[in-house]
Amino acid sequence: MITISDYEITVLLLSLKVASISSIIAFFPSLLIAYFLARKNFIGKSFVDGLIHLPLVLPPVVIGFFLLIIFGKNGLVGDIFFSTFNIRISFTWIAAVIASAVMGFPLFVRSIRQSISEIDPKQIEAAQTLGANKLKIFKKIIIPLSKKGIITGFILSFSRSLGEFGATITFAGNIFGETQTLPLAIYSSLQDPDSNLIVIRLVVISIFISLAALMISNRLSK
Amino acid sequence: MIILNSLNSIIFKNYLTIIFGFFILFSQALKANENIYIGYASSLHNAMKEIVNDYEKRSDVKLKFGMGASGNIAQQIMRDAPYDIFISANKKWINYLDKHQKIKERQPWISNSLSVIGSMKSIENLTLNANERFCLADPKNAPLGLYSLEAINTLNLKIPDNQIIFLKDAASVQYYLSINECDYAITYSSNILNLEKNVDVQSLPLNLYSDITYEIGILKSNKDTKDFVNYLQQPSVLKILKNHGFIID
Repeated sequence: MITISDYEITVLLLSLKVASISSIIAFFPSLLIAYFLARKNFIGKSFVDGLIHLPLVLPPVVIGFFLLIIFGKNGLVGDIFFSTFNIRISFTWIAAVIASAVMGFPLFVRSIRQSISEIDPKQIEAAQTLGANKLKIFKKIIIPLSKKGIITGFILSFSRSLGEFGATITFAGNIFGETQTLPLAIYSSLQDPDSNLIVIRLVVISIFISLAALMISNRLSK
Repeated sequence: MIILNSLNSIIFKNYLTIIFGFFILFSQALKANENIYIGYASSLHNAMKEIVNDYEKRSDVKLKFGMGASGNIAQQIMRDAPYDIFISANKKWINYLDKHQKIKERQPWISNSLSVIGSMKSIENLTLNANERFCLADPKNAPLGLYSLEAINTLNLKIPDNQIIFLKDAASVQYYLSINECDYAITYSSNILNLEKNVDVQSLPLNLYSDITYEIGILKSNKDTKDFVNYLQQPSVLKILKNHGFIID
């Protein structure tokens, strides 16, 4: 009988919590930006496009550094939160969520954008001639027809978040029960000569979850 | 356009040759015989930069170095990292490598002491507010973390687990202190010199923790490594270390 230890359950639940909340947070801005990138032309579009893709190409630790500068206790935004609301962002699970959301964001935008640009413009024109306003078109045509991209985006950003390491360890630290997600737990155990077995167990759990996420996404996007 | 096309076809036709060429080029670069690889505890970093600079001026040998938590480097060595010399911030990790027959020769080096950072009347009656964080080095690998925990236990301080930020080594404690992310921290006294002036620092009494002794382990015994280790014990080098706040016995 294979049993999962309390330690593994804590790590696993935290990883799932961070991954799901960060994907949900990343969803709304991704949808809007994907819509504008797919349907509108504006000055500086390629710049915005590049900016959005930065988390995909920059070393994750650089993103972690930027987040620390912005949301750290003395950071640009973090300072306001800390001095007015007495809320600390860096080194809490919220920091892990922010790091994951930022890293998953470009993947989310890419897949939704792909779906939106595949929508036949004639359908939107038809809706317009029939008197539908922009909001209605967005709700009744754009979203339903890009469902596939939205689901793929969810799964991609969810999986990215499960694997997020560099930005998280820089910005959220490696605090057990607070910010120690699966990859961080594996990293910690790799540092410890007596934890070889724990490493293998965590690796198996991580493979199992990622594979499950991919299979669910294949099933859903059919 | 024509130039680009012909360039393209040249690259395409000679694809294998180019790959092979790169391979030869980089394998030459990898063959570095004149180098000594030194892995050292991150608390030594600032002093080491100075020492290494000085040494390279008087010797042809190139020094390459990696730093981190002593335990981290020890485990890289166990996984065959090519270090020739290892300097640990405690005996534990040299013992660990010694037990696995990795150490040819070892000698004790310098000492250090601990300081606590953060505004407090005295560390004995320190209590943390809910949103305050105490930074410590990770005791799993960083000797600094072990010494710090010893001091905390001797003082019987109660710090809630979720308010401790474990950082990977002494250098990262230093970094997170420098960006004001830690309300409190324990670090080496040798690392407080470059902190800002307005930071509250108190040194911790030496009887709260065991002796902090750096130890040098020679992993590959040859003339180059011996020369360098001898150099590390020279008065001029010890003076550099003393200026950085280390204790010279």
